[in-house]
Amino acid sequence: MGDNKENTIEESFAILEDIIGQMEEGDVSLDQSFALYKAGMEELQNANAKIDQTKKAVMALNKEGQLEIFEGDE
Amino acid sequence: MNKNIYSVTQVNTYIERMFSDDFMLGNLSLTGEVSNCKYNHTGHIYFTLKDEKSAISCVMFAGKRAQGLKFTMKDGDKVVVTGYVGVYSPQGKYQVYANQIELAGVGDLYQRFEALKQELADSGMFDSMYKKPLPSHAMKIGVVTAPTGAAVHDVIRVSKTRNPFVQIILYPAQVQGEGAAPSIISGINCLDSMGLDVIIVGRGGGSIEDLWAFNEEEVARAIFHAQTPIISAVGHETDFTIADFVADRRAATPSQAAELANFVYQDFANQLERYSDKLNRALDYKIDTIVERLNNYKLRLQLLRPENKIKANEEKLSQLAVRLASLMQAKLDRYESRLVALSGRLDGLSPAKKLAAGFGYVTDSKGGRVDSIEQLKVGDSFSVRIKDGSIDGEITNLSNI
Repeated sequence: MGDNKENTIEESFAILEDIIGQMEEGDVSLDQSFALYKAGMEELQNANAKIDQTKKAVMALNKEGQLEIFEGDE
Repeated sequence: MNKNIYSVTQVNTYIERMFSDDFMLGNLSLTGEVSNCKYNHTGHIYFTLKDEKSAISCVMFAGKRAQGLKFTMKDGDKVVVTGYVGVYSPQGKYQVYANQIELAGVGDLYQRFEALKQELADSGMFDSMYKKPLPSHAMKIGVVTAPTGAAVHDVIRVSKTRNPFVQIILYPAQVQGEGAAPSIISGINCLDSMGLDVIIVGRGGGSIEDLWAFNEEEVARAIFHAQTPIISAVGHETDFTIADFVADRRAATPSQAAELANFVYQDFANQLERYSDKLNRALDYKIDTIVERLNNYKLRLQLLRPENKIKANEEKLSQLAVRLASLMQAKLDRYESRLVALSGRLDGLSPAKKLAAGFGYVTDSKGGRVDSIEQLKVGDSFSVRIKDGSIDGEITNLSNI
């Protein structure tokens, strides 16, 4: 479950819904619960890692087709 | 001289009626160049419309301006005026009373717009099957628009508000005038090749001429062929361009385009938080349930221990013993009281007691008990035992009672 880093955030959310659903059903064993919990936490990490949480400057393409920081705003 | 002589008023009134009865003069559009344009302080606009050979006076009353005039008219403008021709009798002048004034050429552009829209619609370029869905969590956003002005500012501001971590790449494009279409096309192609999540193509509001580049077929084709989802954002709410129809999504304004392109980072973070809570709660609940069951089993096992069984039996036994003892005691008590009663009665019957009361016990010479005279005859010896001794004697007489 948690082994594919290629999931989109939407897919990660769907997987998390599924995992939580299974855990809440009640007829899973404790071992299974721990396994599901671990998979869920990994999926959360995956989703979180999708968003690079650093602020980025607005870039603009210059006449040479190179990126430079856009000074026109803010 | 004619025999009928009319007043000036009569003549002008007559002409005025002729004009107003005329079908063609009642509603017409005429084109020409504006000159002598004057904005009266009352809000009326007086101007002259002329072509190479002729001129005609025109007026647009203040009340007509809101609906009928969408631009600031000035001398030299080529316009199409729609209204009626009437007579102003105080001056004996006829003039055009304008209901609507449009820039000439707009009609042409509008026709071109409609024709191209129809053609591209027929070719299937607007079909929903070609519309790519917008990414739900875009991190890299391209923008093709002018590097100055409200549009780029709005896109950046709204984007950063929703997701402070978004990467915006601007292609500074020329969005109006000669060369605008090629500039927009090259912007689309360039950003499309960069593997971005979504591209916004647009500009702020302007006249139909200003927006025209977004109605060019080549721009439409560039949008259509791009691999990246494209949001069009041209002008204001009410402006529709070909680019809007062919884009994967139309935004009413550049600000709205930024809203469509960007997810709200805080919502995403909250969602992760909720999932984390739910996972923890589900596991806690599971563990609690199991601990509770274990405790329950422990309790039940304790109750089932052999010692407890023996203890329970002992208790029962001792209860039985107590009951038995008390039953026994009751029985004994009953016997005892009966014994007391009986011994009382027995006591009353004792011979010693009778002797004490003055009775005597008669025996014959052989010691046998005498209770009838038949057992004795005169001369026999007998003995009477009384309380404190015995009396011996001989029978001297026997008589029946």
